[in-house]
Amino acid sequence: MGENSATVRPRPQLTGMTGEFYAHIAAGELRIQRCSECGAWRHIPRPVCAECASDDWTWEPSSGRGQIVTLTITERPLHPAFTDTPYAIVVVQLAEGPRLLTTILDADPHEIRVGTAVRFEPLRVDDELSLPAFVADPDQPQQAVS
Amino acid sequence: MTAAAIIGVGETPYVRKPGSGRTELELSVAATVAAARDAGIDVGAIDGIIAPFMGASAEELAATLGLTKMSFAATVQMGGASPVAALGVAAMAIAAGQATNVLITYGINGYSGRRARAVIDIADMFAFGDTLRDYYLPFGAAAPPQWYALLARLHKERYGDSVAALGAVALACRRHAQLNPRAVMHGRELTSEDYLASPMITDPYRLLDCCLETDGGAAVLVGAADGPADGGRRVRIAAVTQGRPFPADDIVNRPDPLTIGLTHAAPRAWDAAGVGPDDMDFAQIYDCFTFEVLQQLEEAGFCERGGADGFVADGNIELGGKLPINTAGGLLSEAHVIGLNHVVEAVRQLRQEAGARQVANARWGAVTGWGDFGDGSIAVLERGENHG
Repeated sequence: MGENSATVRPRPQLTGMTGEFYAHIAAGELRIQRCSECGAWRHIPRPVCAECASDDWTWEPSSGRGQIVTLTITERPLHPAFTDTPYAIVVVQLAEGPRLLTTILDADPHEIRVGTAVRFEPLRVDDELSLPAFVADPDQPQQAVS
Repeated sequence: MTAAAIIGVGETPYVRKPGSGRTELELSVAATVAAARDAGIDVGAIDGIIAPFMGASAEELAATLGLTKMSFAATVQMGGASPVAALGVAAMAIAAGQATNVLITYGINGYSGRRARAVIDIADMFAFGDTLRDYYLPFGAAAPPQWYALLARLHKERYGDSVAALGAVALACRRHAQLNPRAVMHGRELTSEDYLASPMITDPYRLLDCCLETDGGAAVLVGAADGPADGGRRVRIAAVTQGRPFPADDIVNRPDPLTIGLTHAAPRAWDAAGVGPDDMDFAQIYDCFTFEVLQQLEEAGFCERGGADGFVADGNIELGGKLPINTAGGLLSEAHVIGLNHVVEAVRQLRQEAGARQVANARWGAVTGWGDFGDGSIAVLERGENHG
């Protein structure tokens, strides 16, 4: 299979702010953009704050803690690089507010529940890339989903 | 200001195996020729094109159709919400005197050519922006049912949607397709047992919650509402609006994830048209997946948020019910021409030409569009004045 084969898992383009975001993940850290002007957290990375239009921001360490707010379990392959079904696509809302589309490690997909408390765990792909994944965090109280 | 109307519609056959055997440009051209004939104008009188966001370009269409008087062209980039939104752009071009006969067409080999099921092609990917590429695809969130399933699950957590409600949408579309010989699923009836037995794709979506992938072309011509007397064949465009959720390129980080483009667009459309959801004799709701129909019924105001589960029960959305939807079978059971076939069907209903599936004395109809990560559009259409 050549490099352009559809069976190669798609990768983020590791340039600009996205490159910085993933560099932190590869270093084992979940950092989220935070506006230096109004303090609003934001993800997906963007150059300007949607709340106050300030372009002054920093990468702030996230607590890495959050909860599952929605999910789907894919049972049939929908992409040639993702044939290992079933697999979970999950949205985690961090304690700081921003949400990430992600997955849950070390879990039977069918046992994953909305409302479950989770914590950040990098998923190593290769030397250059790790993905921001999560694991169940039994030490954290479960919360009602808003 | 010149009021605008849909003056003609055309389609090719809608097929799956073995495919259309024609290019997407050829499908659009065939549908356009049919629409011009339906409108009673020469193809050469077309002077404006709202070109598809995927498929033939305005330049290719004009060159192939022999259009020497082109004065306006544009493209709407709202995925499946584009064809309905294009009605609004065409109406604006008419009102502003930029063109007199504006073509909207989609020719799509969704079965034999490009497939809608996953974003693999890098050219398709960039239509959605970098968020999809950089933050969703690496987790295998590659196909529309996966993205929208996240909304469906959220809605279910809040409102307790039943599987029966999703099934009611699939069954209504399939029943209507039995009255439409053009529908790909004509002659293939569906029971609720069949529906429940269809394999899970990505929960809550079973196979039969997902729209068809088909080959075919459709075309709609927009012109002046006050054209020559023609027995009410001009369907008045009372209002068309478009809207986007915020942020549009990220389906995950929205203050209220259930607020979609249609949430913003629909109230403006009802205000502009001077009618409301209760005045509609039918609605053609963009049915990429069954939950999106429930959600759009709510966000368009046909029922309150959380109320679709009850609204679609008891045959309310079937012919003879309170609000018949997708009367030709929809994307679920007629064909997937990016929803332009919904516009064609609305025109047929308002011209009282829908035969066995005609909504009696239909005067008002709504058509919605849904695209990308929840962009929305809605058209409110009224039958021509010379009718009934």
